[in-house]
Amino acid sequence: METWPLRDRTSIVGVGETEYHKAGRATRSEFDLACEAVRRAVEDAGLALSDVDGLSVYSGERSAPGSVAQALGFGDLRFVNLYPGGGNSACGVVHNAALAVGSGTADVVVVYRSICQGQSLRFGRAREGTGLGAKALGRTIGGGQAFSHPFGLMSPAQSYALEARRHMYEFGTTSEQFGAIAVACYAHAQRNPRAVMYGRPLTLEEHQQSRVIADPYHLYDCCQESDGACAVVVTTTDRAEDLRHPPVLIAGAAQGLAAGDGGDRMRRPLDLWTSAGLVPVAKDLYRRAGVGPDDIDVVQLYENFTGQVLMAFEDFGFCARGEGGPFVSDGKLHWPDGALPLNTSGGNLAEAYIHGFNLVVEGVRQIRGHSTAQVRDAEHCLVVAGPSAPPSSALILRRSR
Amino acid sequence: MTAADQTRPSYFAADMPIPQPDRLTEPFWSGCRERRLLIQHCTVCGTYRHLPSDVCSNCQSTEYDWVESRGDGTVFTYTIVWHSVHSSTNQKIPYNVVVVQLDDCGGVLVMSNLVDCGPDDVRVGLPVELTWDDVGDDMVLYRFQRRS
Repeated sequence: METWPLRDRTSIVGVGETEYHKAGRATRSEFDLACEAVRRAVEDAGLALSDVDGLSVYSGERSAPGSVAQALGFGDLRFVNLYPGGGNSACGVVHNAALAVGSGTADVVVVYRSICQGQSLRFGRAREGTGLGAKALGRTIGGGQAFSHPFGLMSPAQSYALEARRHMYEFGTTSEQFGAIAVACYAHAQRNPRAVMYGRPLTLEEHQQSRVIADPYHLYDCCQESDGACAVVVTTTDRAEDLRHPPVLIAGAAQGLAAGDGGDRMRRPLDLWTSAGLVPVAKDLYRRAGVGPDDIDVVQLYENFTGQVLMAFEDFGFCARGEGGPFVSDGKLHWPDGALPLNTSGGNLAEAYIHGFNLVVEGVRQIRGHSTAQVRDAEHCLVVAGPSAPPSSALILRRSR
Repeated sequence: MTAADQTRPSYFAADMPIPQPDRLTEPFWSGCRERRLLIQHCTVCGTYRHLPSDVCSNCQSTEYDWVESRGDGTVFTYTIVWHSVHSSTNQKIPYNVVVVQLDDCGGVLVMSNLVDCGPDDVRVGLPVELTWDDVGDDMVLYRFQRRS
């Protein structure tokens, strides 16, 4: 098969973040935070705001591209693009930016996510609809949610718990194994002063004793709800050579869903109940980047819930199907001694829930060598967007030689 | 609600949202009012589907009818909810939500509750049967209970 024409041809050249807060603690508006993150990313790249000619964002982004462009005084925009969904978009938005600059459609594309769950509807409460269309639950509920809400299935934790339970049934996976993922993320957050859970370490015993949200998921199996924003700047690797930081190469990018999966997950093929649905994405990604699981030095993997992380490790070929439990629980996910440190900033669980886009930022830090839990000589970082949330996406970031 | 209904309260509290039928799902919810669990069935290739969809995923036909299920099945997976996210479930926790694989109708999956099971009674593979729950406002919902 031919080499992916964009392999290493595009790069992330700037990152920007606001402070991260527990939901409701931000003192500024979501839009204000979006603009700050974008400004910082462009400045970090050594570019001017007027150099930006493209924007790529999640379809659920409330800080609309046109509003951000107008507020920040960008030049003429040549590319504006939405990736459908929520956390599944975290890498797809970067992929789309890479496609834009790699094809010559735009020169400098900024990708951002702003989310203040304290200023809109919290994901962890019952809502009608999703994304920008979400609203408070009323007396009646229509569409697909009419088949779940009236039966008391009203939150992501409850929904994803169904998959976790099935994985436990089929493969003997345990709650302690889910907990191992949370413990690793919390351990890494203790090195990251920017993390919401900085100063709040977690033991497996505390995980086990924490209250059950939706069995088998305990409190610490669930991502946080946060306020904050972050952004990255994507351009061609050729142009990146002249900028402030060594380019972080986008070695590979992939997005999509498995055949039969899609919007109505009650109708997905039965074996996808115990998968993150990322097998085809993983295959495309490795082929495009020209590497395999053994080449990955560090992983940033979207934690909606710990069981979905475990299943994504299986999908990405780090272990066989069904063996995610033993795989995650032997210490390999822990920096600095583990072979495959996971979510080295703390991730969605313990840094902040910026809808997973903070995982892309941490991936860049690892390749630059700037992480607070820096993997020595990290050459390849895998970043995976929302597992079991099709159509999802992933990236492999590579150090330039 | 009629007086008879009040002797057996609905599984959840009265402020639990009830389904709003639309063009696609009206036959399904009308079936429920008649205490019939109807599963959508492609009249071209015979594939069953649930949740309802305008298009058959197997043959892309838009022709379909509705077939009544006996309502026997087994628990495919479940969760026990301990953290309420809506006022309608505040007094109900811990409660279960189950995904039942029907024995008939192509083994489609249906989401519901086991009305006769406490938090320790639910398990994957449990045989279950259909029961009905009058939730008021002219709506009756399918729920399940253990099959003897």
